Amino acid sequence: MEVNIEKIMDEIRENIVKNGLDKEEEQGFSKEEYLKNAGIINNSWNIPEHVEPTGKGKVLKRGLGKLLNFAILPRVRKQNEMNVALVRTINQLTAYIGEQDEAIRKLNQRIDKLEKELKDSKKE
Amino acid sequence: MKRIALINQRYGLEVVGGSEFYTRLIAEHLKEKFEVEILTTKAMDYVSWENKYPADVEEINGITVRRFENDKQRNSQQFGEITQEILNPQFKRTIKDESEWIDAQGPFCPKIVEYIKENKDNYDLFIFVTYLYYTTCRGIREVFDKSVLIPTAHDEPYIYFDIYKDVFKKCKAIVFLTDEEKEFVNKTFQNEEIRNCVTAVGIDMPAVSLEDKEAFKNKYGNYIIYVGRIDVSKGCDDLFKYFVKYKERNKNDLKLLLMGKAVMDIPKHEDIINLGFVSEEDKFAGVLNASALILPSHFESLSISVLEAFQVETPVIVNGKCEVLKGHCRKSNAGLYYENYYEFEGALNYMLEHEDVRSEMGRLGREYVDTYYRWDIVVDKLTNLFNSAIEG
Repeated sequence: MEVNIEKIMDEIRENIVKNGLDKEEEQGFSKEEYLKNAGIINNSWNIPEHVEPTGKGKVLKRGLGKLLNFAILPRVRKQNEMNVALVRTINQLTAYIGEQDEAIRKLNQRIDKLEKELKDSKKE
Repeated sequence: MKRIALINQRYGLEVVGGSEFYTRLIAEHLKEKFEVEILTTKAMDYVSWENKYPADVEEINGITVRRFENDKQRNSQQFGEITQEILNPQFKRTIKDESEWIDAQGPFCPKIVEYIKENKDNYDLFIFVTYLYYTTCRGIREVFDKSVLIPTAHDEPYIYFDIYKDVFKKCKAIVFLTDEEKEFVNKTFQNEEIRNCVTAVGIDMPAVSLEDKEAFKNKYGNYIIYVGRIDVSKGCDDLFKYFVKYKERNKNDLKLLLMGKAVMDIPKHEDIINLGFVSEEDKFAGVLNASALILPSHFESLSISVLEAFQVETPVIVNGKCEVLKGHCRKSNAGLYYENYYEFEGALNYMLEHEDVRSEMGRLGREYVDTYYRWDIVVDKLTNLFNSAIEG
């Protein structure tokens, strides 16, 4: 029997589309997804102002780049400004999530303790 | 016999950790080919790096282990603050900042670095396992021309620090655990010219008695299984969310069995059963009887639990956002993957409804492990690479 998992995955995805499930948005917060993307954003927010040309015609490309700087540089800088603010916000959010997680963990501990005390008092 | 040193931040039978366990496995399997020594710290836990092991030198399973004291413990809160600062885009990170971060990351063990420097000529090769920590980042610089790096690299923020560039570009040889890791490292560091091999571990399976096998089947019926630390960082929050939704949408008797230490809350659900930390025999018996092993983690360097499932002919369902896990499925045809809830549900129902395909996937998984994850193959590849690095 031949098994090809990509064909099976295609079949699964076709069924999802056939049942209209692909149109439903994925609900709910995934902390792991959030942290992974926050990491990617922290690493890739900065658009370099100058990129050394590669491949053929480096001299021409360098010259062209210098000519177009007047148009490109202000836009790159503006974008980077926005990116910094976005990353700053995300990092603040990350810290907030951490604080809330800790608060929730402590509350859960208290609840578990109280439930146990209640259960024990009922036995008596 | 050539004398080699394996360097890892922790080492010991009590130490729980992927790279540490990996180091112990390869050390014990290489001892017939090389005179193997371990250089490590006295730490047992990776949070504080507190010095716990008393002896400077001891023997563990026939391997000489040299331990060095850490000069200080790590303060987790302070380290968290330094990390947050250094990753902040407003902060213009310099090599000096990264260097201070490495020292704070630890384990801060200048004695091990001093030993490596003073004993450079007493070993033919130094093999550094895991790029991230102080022991590799500082130690490898003393012996670049006699070093092998086994980075266990992930796509994570720290790997882009400038301080790691030399680590990945000046070593003599590199061992990658997977093709995906090699592709990522070569792309990130443009270091294709460094001699390397792709190999991981062999998979050993303890004998599972028929009684154990039947006991699991009789007690739990139809189930999927998760093996490992039950932690948000392992994707378990999404796993629970998806499974609970799956049970709401699909009325069947499927259960989710968990085997491992829990460091997060587990939802109270009649079909989620936590067995905690179990023996190796129980682990294999549990996996053997499962309809599938489920692995929701985004970040895996290798995933020994997937390979162990393949060894007992149990197919897997994995997080498709992890290239390593998806790679195992594609190369073996022994597992399915998902990237959202409906793919999770689809993969799970496919496995449950196609017993013949599931059985064939199991057979293919075993074939995959027998081809790439046998100890004789792993030892040969490592031996050839190490000898090549020694001979220059």
